[in-house]
Amino acid sequence: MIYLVEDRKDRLSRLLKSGVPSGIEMLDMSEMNKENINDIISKIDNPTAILLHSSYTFPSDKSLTMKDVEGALKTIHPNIKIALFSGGLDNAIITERFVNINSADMYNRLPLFMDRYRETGECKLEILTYGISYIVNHLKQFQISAGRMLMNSQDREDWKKTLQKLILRVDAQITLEELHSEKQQLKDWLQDGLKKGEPPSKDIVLNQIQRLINKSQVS
Amino acid sequence: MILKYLFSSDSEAIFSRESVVERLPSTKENLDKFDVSKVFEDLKSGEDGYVLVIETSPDIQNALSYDGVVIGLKLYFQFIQNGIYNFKIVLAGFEDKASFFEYCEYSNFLKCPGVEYFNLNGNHEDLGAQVSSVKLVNHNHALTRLKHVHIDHPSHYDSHHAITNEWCVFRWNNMFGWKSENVQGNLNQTLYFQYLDTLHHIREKFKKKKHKKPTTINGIENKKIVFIDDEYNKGWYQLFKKLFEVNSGATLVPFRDFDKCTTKQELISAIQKFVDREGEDTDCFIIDLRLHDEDYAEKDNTKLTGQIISKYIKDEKNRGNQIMMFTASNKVWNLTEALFKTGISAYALKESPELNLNREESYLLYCEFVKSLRECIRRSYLKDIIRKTEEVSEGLDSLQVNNLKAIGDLLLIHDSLTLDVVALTMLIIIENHCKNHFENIGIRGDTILRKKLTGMNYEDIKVIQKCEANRQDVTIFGFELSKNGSHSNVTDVKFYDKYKRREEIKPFVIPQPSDITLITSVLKYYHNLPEHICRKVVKLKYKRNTIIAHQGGDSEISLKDDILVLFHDVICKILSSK
Repeated sequence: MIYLVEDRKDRLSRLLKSGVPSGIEMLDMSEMNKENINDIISKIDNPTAILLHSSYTFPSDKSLTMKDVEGALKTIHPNIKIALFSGGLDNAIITERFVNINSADMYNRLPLFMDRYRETGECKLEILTYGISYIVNHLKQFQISAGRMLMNSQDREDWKKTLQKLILRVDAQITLEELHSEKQQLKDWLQDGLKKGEPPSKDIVLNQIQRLINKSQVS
Repeated sequence: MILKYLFSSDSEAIFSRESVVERLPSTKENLDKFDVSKVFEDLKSGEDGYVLVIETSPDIQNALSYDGVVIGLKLYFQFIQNGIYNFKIVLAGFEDKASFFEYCEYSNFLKCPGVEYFNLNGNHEDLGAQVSSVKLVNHNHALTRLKHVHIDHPSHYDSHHAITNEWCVFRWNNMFGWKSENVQGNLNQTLYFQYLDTLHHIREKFKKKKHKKPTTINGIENKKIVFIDDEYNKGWYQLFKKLFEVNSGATLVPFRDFDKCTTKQELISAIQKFVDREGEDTDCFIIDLRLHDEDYAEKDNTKLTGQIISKYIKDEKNRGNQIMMFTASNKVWNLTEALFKTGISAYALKESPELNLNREESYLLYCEFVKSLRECIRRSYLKDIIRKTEEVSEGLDSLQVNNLKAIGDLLLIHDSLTLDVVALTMLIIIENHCKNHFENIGIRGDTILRKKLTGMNYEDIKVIQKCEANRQDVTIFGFELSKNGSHSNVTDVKFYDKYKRREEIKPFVIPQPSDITLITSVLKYYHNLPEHICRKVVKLKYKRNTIIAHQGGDSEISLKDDILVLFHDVICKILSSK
């Protein structure tokens, strides 16, 4: 379940013209205070992700902040993903389970995020962060990661080992379902290269990754 | 030549053999805080040129943020601003150049002189060869190209409105030599500000002390100013408090409850209650046009919260209330709606970073703001006129009500000619009333009043004394003579106590009841208006008769606001008198 905590209802209606996307449960924290915070949070049913307005004002306890809520959520629901949104933010910052994002950006991308969640059950904070460009960001992450790995490998003797590690990295890092065929093609291409006497050089491998990105953009 | 590499620690091994490596943080959060001035200071000492190789996306998770490019831009700005032109910035990434152009928001940076892209897919040892030559960057060429980079205002300024507010507060504080307080967005730390700073030398311009301007506004002392702006706590309140209250003696009352309201309707209701509470004795309302988030998506400008509140203040509270719209909107349809339909008194612009970069423009806009404010304060008497009109209207017939309303409507018109005409019309109403009433005075049983006003024109005090001694019912009006003794300039009527010695004065009694006699007697003895009011009525009558009708006198007629208020008071009083 995806939960949304928002006290600015006007913003909600303004930025979500078609209403709150189905699958989102609005969570009321107006009764929350420092005494009952853990109790209320532990009663949140099966939370996959929670979207929190960072400047939410808690009428029952003015000293309570979203940082307290965030801390309690991480403790009680360690696998939960958290998006903290605020109108005062400029650029989004994303980590594995957390994103700090501008409110307007978050609401603009929320329908796409929820479409994905409903269809696949996947909760991709990258979609909230980059919208439709999340696939490109995903590939560029891999590109940089692979680039750094290959550039750091100085030992020609170990080049084949490096490429084998790269195949493992393809598996580990290209995780989007949408990229399944591209991922397989790259793995096949690398494995074919390894079978040859002279495996593809660093620049050829990196160019191949670039081609993969270009191709995914076209598709 | 100094070669410096700016890479994240994750890529450090790639360039560890190279010249100088400065580690960039590998998280976006820390990259946003990265201080480029330190890098710049380290480089400044080199004389043969500087080459900076910067990783385009040091934070792998936020690959599309291109934080390295942002750092490159900030360094570029530093070079240009400091007049250093022997440098080269090389943006290095694993993607090809086409991909960089497609996804990097600031990819046009590559079109600036002294900036190149290096694809790390190739042999990175080529990099040294590629950057070996540093050509001098042409200053004007760099500025021209920078204009094509299209650096927009930061997205946390969710609107142009927000950044304009902060910009204007910043500029005005600078103009007065004050520190900007409560400016939350740290505008001057943003890439956007540094971009504008490079293009237009903003900071340099404000460093000059001669830019400091007077910080006192004359004519607003003891006046009450209500301020309704959702950005009030982002520097405006502090600025206005200092400007209006501390330096100029006015009282500033801001509406503060924006955070307590969520919906637009809640906000409107809260502001209306605030106006009900504070508006009665307010001399000027300063109102922003857009007060609620919904206003930014509103297509119908009559539904903007600032317009709705202004209409409430004018139509529901008092048409004479003075409102200055203080807004970032330079749209002519907003101005037209506010000025000509809602009937606000002034429309002042908050300067925007795109349009108002010239140093003098800040001052000119500020001067316009002050001029508008003072004009609103000056005309705040209108609210009393309108209020009084409504108070007395209840007991009047419809013709009288319409006349009073017409006077009120005409007074709301700004031009001085209309005000002159209104004043003279009011005089005619007073004159006619007095003439008609003089005949009717007997009705109230004061049968001797008419006799009081008949008599001879005596200039000899002995005759007057004699007259008084014989006829106790004689009332004497005295008229002051001009310095040269001419009667033509006699304008100032005085009423003399019968029992007071008056050898030193030159009173006379008019043989037949003249207009002046009629007016003054009815105003003073029937309506009990004080002597100074009678004097002012006579004075205007004299001016009209001599200056306007016969082009006499030595100056043009000058009608001050207090005369308008006074005459309106007189009319209200005499019309409502039973």
